[in-house]
Amino acid sequence: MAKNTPSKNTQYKASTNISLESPCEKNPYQAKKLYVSGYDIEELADKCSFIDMIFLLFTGELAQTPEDRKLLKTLQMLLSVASPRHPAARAAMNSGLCKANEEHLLPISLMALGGSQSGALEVKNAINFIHVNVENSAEQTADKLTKLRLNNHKHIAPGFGQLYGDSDLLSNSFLEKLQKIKPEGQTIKWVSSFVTHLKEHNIGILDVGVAACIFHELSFSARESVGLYQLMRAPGLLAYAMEQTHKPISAIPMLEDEQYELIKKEY
Amino acid sequence: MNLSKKSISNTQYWDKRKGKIITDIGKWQGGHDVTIRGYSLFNELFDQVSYFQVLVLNVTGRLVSSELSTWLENNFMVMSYPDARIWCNQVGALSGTLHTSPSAATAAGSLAADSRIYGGSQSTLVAMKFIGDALKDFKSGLTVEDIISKLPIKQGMHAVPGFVRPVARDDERIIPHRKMTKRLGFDTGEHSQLADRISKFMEEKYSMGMNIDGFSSAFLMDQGFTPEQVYQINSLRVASGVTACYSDNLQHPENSFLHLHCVEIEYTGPRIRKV
Repeated sequence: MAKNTPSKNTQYKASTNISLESPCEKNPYQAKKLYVSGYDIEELADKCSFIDMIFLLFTGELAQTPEDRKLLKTLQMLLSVASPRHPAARAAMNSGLCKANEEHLLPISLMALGGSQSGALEVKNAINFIHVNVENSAEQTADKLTKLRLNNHKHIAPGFGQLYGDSDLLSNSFLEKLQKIKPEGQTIKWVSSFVTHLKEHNIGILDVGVAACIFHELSFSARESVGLYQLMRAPGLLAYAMEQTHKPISAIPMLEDEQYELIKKEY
Repeated sequence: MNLSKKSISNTQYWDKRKGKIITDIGKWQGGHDVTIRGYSLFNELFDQVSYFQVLVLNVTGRLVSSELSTWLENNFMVMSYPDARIWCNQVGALSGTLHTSPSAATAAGSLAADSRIYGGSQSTLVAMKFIGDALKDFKSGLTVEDIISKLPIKQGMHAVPGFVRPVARDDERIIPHRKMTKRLGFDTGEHSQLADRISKFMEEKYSMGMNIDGFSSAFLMDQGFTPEQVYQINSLRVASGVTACYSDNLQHPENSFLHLHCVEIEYTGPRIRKV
């Protein structure tokens, strides 16, 4: 043990750019003021919105333009409720129905949402894809990818593909709506052009691609965007879960044996 | 499989599977038995094999020998210590101070160890992929030095998954693992032989040696597991230590785990300003 333990007495410490606590004179454990990136949180509460706070927390500054603020606010609204058939929504509903503790319901659905296939990790991968290609021709990128396409069940690129065999209507509509807010945005222009060239193959943007496009446009980094996507999806997931907690466990019936097909496989 | 091309919808794949679960993993036959990968739980497994044999069976479809199951269980055992200095355990301890439920605390701590740099689940996945690729390169004629030189440089040295333990800080788990492996009758396979060569090279060049991920990864590749299977088998590897730290802190007064004064968090952001 002695060999593996540093002899110096290490002080437990952490540092942050985000918040500063002004200590109470009488009790060094208690704060009398809390500042966020230099702003008094009480002043922020009076003058700013939750969207302003997201900019401040993740970029260190408030939104640079009204259109950037509107872009993120619109994305937040569009993502706040997923389809009740989305796997994370169904994980939330199942957990609510089976009477899992209510404090677990949001974390359960967000954990399920974390995946790399239509989940939060795909947002990160989509941002990286956009970042690498945004200076290239959208048409050539689309051509190259459609020629390489081997498996129709796989997304052609992170954030872009089909939903149940077709281009995702709702996500494409969301992109059009967001494009109108900042039509000259470099990322939005490139993504819109890329999607136009994918259209003839019946491929389009997916919800995670829409999120990636806007986060990249607003200069949020790929890593931060994973959690931001989960955060924006959270209200609807929680609501779906909570609604089911008020219903009997039989409200979504368990499948009968005939609906469960066990295939024999040699291992 | 030919699905949608151009503008024609084809939902045949989903239509065929609608309202059904089709699987080969197993089935619960209520009031009678359970099938796990073709085995009867109550006639062939229960009271006859270990929990670890069933865990591996569920993940891989293989009913492994009791010796391999013992190796895996012992390997699992040493990836979790009741010491709240370790990151995942600290999540357990902090959850204890909040009187979180034990399941949430243990799940949260386990997630904190789902990391590419420690924890033994994802880190073993990375190390298994490395040793698998390295053996292919070695068989194709590359030397150990060639293999290492292909890896990215981090902090002034090549980052070799499973071989980043400073020699001055031995991994206390390696020698007991070597003894156990011998006692259980396993030969040294080709991945393990290469891992020993890499370890020797790293010790000589960088004073860094093999850690438990490096040792386990080579052994498990020799046993025919894929990196993804081992990642799944080991997904709750740190759970027991996390739960111990949670349990400990449930008993203490609120905010008494490594509590800090306000000024002990160093603020590095902008000066105080007005909106």
